[in-house]
Amino acid sequence: MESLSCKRCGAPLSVDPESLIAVCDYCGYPNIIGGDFSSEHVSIIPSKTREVVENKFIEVVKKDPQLSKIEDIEVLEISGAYFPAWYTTIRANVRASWYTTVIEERNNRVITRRVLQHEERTISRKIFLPARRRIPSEPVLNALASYTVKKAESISPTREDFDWEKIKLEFLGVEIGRQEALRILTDKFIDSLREEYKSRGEQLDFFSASIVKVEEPVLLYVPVWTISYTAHDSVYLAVFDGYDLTCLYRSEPLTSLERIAGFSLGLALSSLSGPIFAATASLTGFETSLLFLGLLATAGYTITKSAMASARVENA
Amino acid sequence: MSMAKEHTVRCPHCGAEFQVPLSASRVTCPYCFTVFDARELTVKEENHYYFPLSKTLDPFEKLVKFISRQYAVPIDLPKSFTVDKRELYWVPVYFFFADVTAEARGHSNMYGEQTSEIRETRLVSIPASGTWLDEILNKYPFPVRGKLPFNPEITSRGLYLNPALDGNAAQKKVEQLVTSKVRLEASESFNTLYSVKIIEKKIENRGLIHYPIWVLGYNYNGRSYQAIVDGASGIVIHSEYPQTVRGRISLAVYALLSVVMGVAGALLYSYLVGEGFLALLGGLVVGGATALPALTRSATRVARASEYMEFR
Repeated sequence: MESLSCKRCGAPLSVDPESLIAVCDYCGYPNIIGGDFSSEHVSIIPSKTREVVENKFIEVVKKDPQLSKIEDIEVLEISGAYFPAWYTTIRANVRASWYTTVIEERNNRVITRRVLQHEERTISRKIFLPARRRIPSEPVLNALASYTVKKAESISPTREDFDWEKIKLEFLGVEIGRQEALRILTDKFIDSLREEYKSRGEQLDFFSASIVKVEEPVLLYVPVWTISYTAHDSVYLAVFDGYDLTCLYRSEPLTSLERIAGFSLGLALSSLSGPIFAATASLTGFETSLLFLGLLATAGYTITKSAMASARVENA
Repeated sequence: MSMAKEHTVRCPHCGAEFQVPLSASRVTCPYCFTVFDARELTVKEENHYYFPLSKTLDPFEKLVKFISRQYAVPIDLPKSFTVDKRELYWVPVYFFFADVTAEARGHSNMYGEQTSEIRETRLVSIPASGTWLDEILNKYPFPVRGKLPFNPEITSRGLYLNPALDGNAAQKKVEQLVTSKVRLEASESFNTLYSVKIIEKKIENRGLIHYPIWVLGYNYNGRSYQAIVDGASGIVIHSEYPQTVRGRISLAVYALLSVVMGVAGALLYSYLVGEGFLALLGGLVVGGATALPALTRSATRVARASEYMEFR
């Protein structure tokens, strides 16, 4: 049976027909399969190796005030993968008008007035779209989003002189092609602009956006590592960006002492909020103090919820 | 690629020509990503895939490790539960690409009468088992590992669910979903909307995927509890677990205390400063909000938790 072979070292390749990139089992070189597929607009963010990611996790554990006290932490599994996403810059002409309510004082009387505001301008923005059908988990999505602003040295998959041996990460299949990605990205861009103008006032009077320019999209492969670990016989997760080792997400055990601290904080907040509300009402007026009351109530609710939660979650 | 024997194929969807190994039967077009038969050069009527089941995963081990870290869970649960049910389901999910363009006409107080183009483009997934699993999977973000072309052998392991909806019915659902989104966007873009006319509509069936889902049941102290675990990734999608009486009582006491503390703080303030009514209102509102999550948890014997919700 004939098969493909690695372009760099000549070893036989096992090819998954769904994938655009097959990683050589021997030398780790990412072979673009599918003949003359243009590699010009494909870029790979280099990843640190498994050992480096694991060491980073151990370092995070040592530095973390809570985790460092737990003795039975054990790494269960480390898995990394390259997530593909499309990146492009889109420019649009926006025309929008919206209503806002203005409160002013006239002849010692407070009146409210509806004001029609408008804006015409050109907006340009770099946006991204995961190249897979289902949206990946929130931490992975955050990792992909960070590359719309992050300056990273990406490498072309045609570069054979790179240390591919060390990485050998699976390249997840691309399920959204270039044309579809462009259509979805444009729609996503216009929808987000409409939402932004909507939130400027109470009601939109008009919104229209026409696309002026769309840059050639780049398919970027972003390395993300997930570590599952056990502490006190329970399982937790940590997610790392493989390029700069940012810890994107971490769930950690909540000790009973921390829970008690949370509950005490909730009780303290309850007892103080009556006085705080009454004092702000007499100092700043009833309306401002209502805002304060809302904030205090949300804080109380959140404190109780996180004290009862199954894990403490830390996001980058 | 010098060692491989290749031939040129032409994609039946977009017409692009490219090289594939002679041995390949199913190939993916690198330009439009259509999967087709390399010999017959035809697109399969319905692309059918599945997600491979994890070979190393013991769903119960994973479930217990997740439940054991919940608040107020009995300490002996990991050792003294018994397995009631351990069933593997293959759940069908349709995928569609929808691209709808409409022309909306309406009135704006700023710009007068206007027409504007409204577009909605996206991928839509429709779980189609026709069971309660659909509801749970609707909100679940399917994880990483790649899908594979459908293999009939998977039907011998676990319960294979045939789609309760056919492709056309699922397509109608997608059409409804997307056009109602277009109408919503149109009505938001004008002060007064006069009309919406769909001028272009493309809804393509991108295939059916069967996804492995573990449905688990366990018994603890004579009562049974349910859980659902992702068969490919091991993520706990949904779980039920008992709460200890001690845990529930302490939550109820905490809820009561937080209201009492709210009132006490207010009374002290009104005694020292005055403004009794406002202080009491503030103390009750915040004390109540602080008590609420604890009170609802203490009122239920069975609590629920899901691992992927922690990501949010």
